[in-house]
Amino acid sequence: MGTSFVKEPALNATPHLTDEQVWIRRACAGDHQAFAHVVQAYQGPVYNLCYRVLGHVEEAEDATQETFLRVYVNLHHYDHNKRFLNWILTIASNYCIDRLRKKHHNWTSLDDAPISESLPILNETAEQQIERSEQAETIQRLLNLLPPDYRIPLVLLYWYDFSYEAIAETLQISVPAVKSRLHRARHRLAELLSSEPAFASEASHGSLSAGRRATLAATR
Amino acid sequence: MVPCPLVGEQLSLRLDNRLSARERTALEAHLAVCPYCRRLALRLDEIDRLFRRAAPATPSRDLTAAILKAIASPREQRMLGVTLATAGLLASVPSLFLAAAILILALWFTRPDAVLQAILLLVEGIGQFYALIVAARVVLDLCGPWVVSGLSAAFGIGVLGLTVLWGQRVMRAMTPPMPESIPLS
Repeated sequence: MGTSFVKEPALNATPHLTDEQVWIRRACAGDHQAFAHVVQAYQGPVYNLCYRVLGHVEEAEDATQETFLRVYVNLHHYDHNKRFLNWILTIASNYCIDRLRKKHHNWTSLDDAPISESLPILNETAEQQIERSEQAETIQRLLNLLPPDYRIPLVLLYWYDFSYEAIAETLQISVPAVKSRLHRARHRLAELLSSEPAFASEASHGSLSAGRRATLAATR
Repeated sequence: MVPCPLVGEQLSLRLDNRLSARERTALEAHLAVCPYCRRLALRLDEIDRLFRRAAPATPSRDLTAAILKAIASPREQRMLGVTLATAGLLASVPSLFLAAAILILALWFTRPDAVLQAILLLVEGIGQFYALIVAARVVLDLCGPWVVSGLSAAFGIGVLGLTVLWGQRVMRAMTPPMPESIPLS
């Protein structure tokens, strides 16, 4: 999975293990500089989770901030034998679920689904960039149509390379529950792809629509 | 043949390499004969490819400054509260003197005898205040400085608490603007 946080060097979310542990320990001891470093290192993964679950840029930024406030307050509860990323994503997931429940907006409609905020990769051609952003848009639209409980296992699996066991630990559910949620989420996505021809064409080929191609040709 | 409802979860497990060799063979055999499951499997493969290619979303700006500011703000509010309390107490001293002076002047013209009595009371009061200091010294000697500090603090906490609450309300009313965006390094 070349796009996950775990293996992508460009978005290196987790610093070197020993360094990471040193920073975290110092942050737990009340070192502000160390906590700033932890925020810097983990804001990317936390933001991605919040964005994928909440589906809005502003809400995701707000949720990221709130997650780190909770992390700061609960640092003394952190078990140093466990992976920090899992712990921090547990806090983020719980917060996002709470937020969605409070707001009563379980999932948005197809029309007001926002576009993805993924940064374009610089050495791509314009065509590749559009193709990538169209795919990102499709993914976020699909995610927004899923119940929140199904979104998070998918996000942890595809973007963080988490095993079923790690997802279960992060979401504090059983491994069979993870299997079931992933299965249901995927099944629901398959139904959406079948019912929406627009999704199907974007998803299967990742190809540009005729209109976009014409626009591109005209600008060259 | 595997019954179709069970195939569903197996198709998902297949994508994550969570099937044993035997399960996989049985599933492939089922897919060969069941067009419904075959179509579903193809759809699931498409979804899998789509999601595996997806790049992570990154924040449009570095959120570190905003997060650290949000963490620091309760501390700043407390500091402001303490400052306001001290300022309030200091400001109240001249006001009290002024009020006392006005009262004395007013009384001097209407009831000079009352003023004289008041002066006598004041002198007595100062004597009592001195007695209070002496008592405090005695308590200090008997019980140690912590008890005296505690008693003084108990008096101060009421006034301070109210001013801190007021200070927080003031801070909340003038929410500071978010810092300017910092480009990602």
